[in-house]
Amino acid sequence: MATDFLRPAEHELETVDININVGPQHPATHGVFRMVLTVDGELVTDLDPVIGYMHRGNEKLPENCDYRQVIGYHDRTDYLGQFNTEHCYVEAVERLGGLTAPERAEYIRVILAELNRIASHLMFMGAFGTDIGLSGTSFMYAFRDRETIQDFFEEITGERMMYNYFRPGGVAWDVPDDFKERCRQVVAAIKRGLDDLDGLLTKNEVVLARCRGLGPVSREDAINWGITGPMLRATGFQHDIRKAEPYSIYDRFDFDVPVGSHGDVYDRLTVRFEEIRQSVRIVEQALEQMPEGPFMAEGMKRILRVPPGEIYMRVEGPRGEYGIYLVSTGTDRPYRHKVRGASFCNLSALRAMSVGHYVADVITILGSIDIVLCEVDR
Amino acid sequence: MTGEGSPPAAVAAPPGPLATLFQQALPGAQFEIVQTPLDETIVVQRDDLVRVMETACNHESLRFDFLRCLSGVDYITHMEVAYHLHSYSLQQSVGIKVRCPNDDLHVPTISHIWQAANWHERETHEMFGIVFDGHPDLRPLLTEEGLGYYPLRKSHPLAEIEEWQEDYVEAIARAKVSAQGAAGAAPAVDEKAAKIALAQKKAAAITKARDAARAKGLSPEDEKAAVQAAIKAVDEEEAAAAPAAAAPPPPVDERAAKIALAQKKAALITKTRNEARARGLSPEDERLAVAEALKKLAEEDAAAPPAAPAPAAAPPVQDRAAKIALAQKKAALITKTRNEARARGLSPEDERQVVAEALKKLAEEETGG
Amino acid sequence: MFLANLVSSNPWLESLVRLGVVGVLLPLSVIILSWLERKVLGRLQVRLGPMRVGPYGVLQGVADTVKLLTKEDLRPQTADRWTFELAPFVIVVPVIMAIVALPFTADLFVRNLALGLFYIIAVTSLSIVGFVMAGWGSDNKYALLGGVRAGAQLISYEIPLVMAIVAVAMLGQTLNLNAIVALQDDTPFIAYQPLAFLLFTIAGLAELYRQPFDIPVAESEVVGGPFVEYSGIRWSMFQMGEFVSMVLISILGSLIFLGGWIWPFNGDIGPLGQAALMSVKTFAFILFFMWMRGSMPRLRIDQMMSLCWQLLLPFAFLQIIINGLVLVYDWPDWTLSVLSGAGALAAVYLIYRAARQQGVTYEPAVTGRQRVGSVL
Repeated sequence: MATDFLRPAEHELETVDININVGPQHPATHGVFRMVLTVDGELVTDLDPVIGYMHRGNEKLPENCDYRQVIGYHDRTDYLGQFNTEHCYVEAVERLGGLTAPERAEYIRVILAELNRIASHLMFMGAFGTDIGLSGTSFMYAFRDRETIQDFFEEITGERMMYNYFRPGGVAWDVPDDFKERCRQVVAAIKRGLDDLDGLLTKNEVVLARCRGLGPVSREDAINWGITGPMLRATGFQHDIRKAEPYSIYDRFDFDVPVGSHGDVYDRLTVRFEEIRQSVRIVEQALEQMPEGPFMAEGMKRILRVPPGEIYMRVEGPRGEYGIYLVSTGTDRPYRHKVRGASFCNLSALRAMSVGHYVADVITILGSIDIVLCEVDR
Repeated sequence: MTGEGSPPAAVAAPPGPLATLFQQALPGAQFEIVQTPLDETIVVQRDDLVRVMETACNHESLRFDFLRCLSGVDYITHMEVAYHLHSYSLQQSVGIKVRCPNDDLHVPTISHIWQAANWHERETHEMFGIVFDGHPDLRPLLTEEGLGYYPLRKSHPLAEIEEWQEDYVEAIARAKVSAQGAAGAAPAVDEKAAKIALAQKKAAAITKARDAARAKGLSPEDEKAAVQAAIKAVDEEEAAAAPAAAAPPPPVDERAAKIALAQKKAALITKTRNEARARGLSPEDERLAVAEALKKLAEEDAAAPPAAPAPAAAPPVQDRAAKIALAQKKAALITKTRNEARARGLSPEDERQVVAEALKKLAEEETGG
Repeated sequence: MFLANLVSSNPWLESLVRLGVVGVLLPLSVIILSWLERKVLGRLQVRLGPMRVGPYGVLQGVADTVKLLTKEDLRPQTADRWTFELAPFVIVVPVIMAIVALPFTADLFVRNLALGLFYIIAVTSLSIVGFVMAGWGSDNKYALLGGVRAGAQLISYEIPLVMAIVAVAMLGQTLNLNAIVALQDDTPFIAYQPLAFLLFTIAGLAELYRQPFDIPVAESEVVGGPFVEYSGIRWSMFQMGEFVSMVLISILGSLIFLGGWIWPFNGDIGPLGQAALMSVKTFAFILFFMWMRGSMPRLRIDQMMSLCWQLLLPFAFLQIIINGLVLVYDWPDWTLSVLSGAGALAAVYLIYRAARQQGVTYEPAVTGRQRVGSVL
């Protein structure tokens, strides 16, 4: 009949949701991560995160290595916050084995770990800009400054990525003579470059329109999901392991813990910007206080044996709480070596955060978590 | 690392302030307190776990709102799950452990209390095989589905870099083959070859029958019938020939002896290594001890009367022990010479030359002796 | 001289020569623009851009062209063959057809159509079909999503674009582009129609699917959208379509808003001077588009749609009503400038306010459908 089209209820089209595989080879998944999106048009009705493509047995391998060989495996878990992971591990071994590192080594560790945090956050800025559609500008701005940090690390450790520099009881070798001078240059470069990036990202109208109010997480949910780090602080909850349970020598520095207010993507971005500024403060103070002296504790044995016992050591990594559960049976190798990656726990909340949003927003939310897949899969 | 280690000495510590709080909050439950360098750790009974966790989360003096970490540990005699909790409001941390025997790897889930436990429990399940009862979705997280083994268990071997590992694997493979041989079954290879031959014979018969049928101009149905008749004929022929062919091969004495020796060797290696580790030796010392034990075994075998089932296998072993001894001697010489060269401040090229000369001298001595 | 006479006396020969000029200039401009874009983007991103092929990398475009032409032309096995293979043509051909009616200087054009503006609008709308064809024919979910996005976006933004052009046509009382340019000898139309110019630029940016409107080809979401399965020459045809439409929009904008070759020198600068003047204006547009690409992230699809339907379209109607009032009641010219300028300011303010809106936490539209088992 000619008037059939007037009665759409009887002739409604039958539609089905389609599944889209985002990843493991996709520009926005920051590594080999896969999301199975069920989309109804542009709306995501379900999301199934699939991880494990990067699983290398990073918890099993150390069971066959002696305590110093394990350090290299930590560089390969969170490959953007390597010094932070190494810091966690050497602290764990030192506390379990009753060792103390000399003052100078502690200062070197703190300076490098904070610079590493800055480098990691800069990497996040770059990648996040690309996720929301800047065609590489944020990447280039961020990498200009990150490069100075990487060059600095290379001068000290000889490596650009897998530093393997901290040791139980100190650091592997002393820093070069011009360490303080070079470090001040690096810090100055970061301070200069950060305002460019800030203007490009946080004050950009499109970023504001895209990120304000996107993927909000309440404080209670965040704690329940085990979300830590900048994502937790973005919800307005002031907690930083460097302040709450100071490890190493963090109690000697004066710095603030920046917090957001809504727990949305925009707050996660601004909190990270502010954390860079606070890390700069810590580095500057540490440079002034840093003493001369030995870089390694006296009387370290060639084969390190740790008395039987267990410890759960945690530090504030760039992405949140990086923890190591270390069990020793008194031999020269760890008996059990569990790594609690911050991205692992943060990522587990992805589904709860992103179902019901648009495809573009899911990509943005994923970017704002700042995952490192090597830390997720281990 | 299979078979190594024992649970850390569970030193019964006096209850700290947190354990006291737990005991006050849960009067009936049994606690065992372990002191660690950072957090108090409490071992609870498996049946109490959910009650303890719910109390830990909700009780006003505990209020552990954050599950930091959840890890499984394989202590060979039993498995353990360690929960690390933190309270943001009261700024206190505690570790809670629960043990389960190897034959009953079940732990109640706590993912309804803390969402964070969801992925941790999935991971622990696939890595250790511990089942978390009541978990909403216990699919594997990092590994593929249906993996069939649990990678982080101590019984799961990690490829060992030591040299005798190959021997061990080979010995096991050979033992398997010989076990089959001893049971009197026909060798697998022969059976397969026979099957292939039969199939080929059948195929030839089918082709022949079909060609003949087509040449005669038969209909498709008739052709099929002719082919089936041909196959039947082949089968009957085979059945007639079978009893004559089936005869068990004689057992191979020499091989069995070799296997026995290899097994003996493997057992000795494991034993020596475990002993060495128990004594807390360094890897170098451990390797040395194992080599010595092997040497002793070889000597014993050689000294044993030739009636022993392995006359052919012994010489290579002795040879090998000698080789190892020689290699160790060489290594010691190299280290010594190099250190001396360095002490004298030689250049790397000179150093290399000095070492080469020393090695040459040693080789001459060996042949001369 | 004889040659010029021969050409101008024979309309067929004349058209052939003009077509030849267009046919050579267009691919050339694409090659130059692809180099320029990489160079400009490089400078915006504190790097050098291409530097290897030729001095300052000027031959990079040539090298890219040779590479693209010699690459294997792949087609997925499950693709819809004819849809897939025809899609690039459907995109490129209408754009080139539109260029034919576009004058570059007083003398350099192929055909001066009396309804030139109408013809250009009518023909360019056809490209949308090509995007949907490419999205559907590729048999790829990213391509499908991108193709549907392209359809939605390009059709939507066609309307404010056309309305902005209609406002200009009202003012000029003609659809002939040469006549419109001739009318701007003392004042360019941008002075009378700032609102229409704003709408034209935004809608033009969206029609070119460049940042912040690159939603159909979003690299981090749909990995190139409709083009994801294309390679070699077919992919380069899409690229060519993109650059030629950029040239088209830029030339059109400089003709109808910036006074073409007439303003500010009244056209008395000879053919070369006119060409130079037009190039300056065209490149102003092109550089603006490239600048946007280097500094703007991508809008979300619903934001893009609401910007079009809730903001640009009402303001386009507002401009037309203003024009109508001024023309009917014969108010002085400056009232037109003032009213339209006020409208433009209002539009800018509204966009600014919408972008800065304080944290509106919106609830997920679908709350956690429980998953049973795995989808794999």
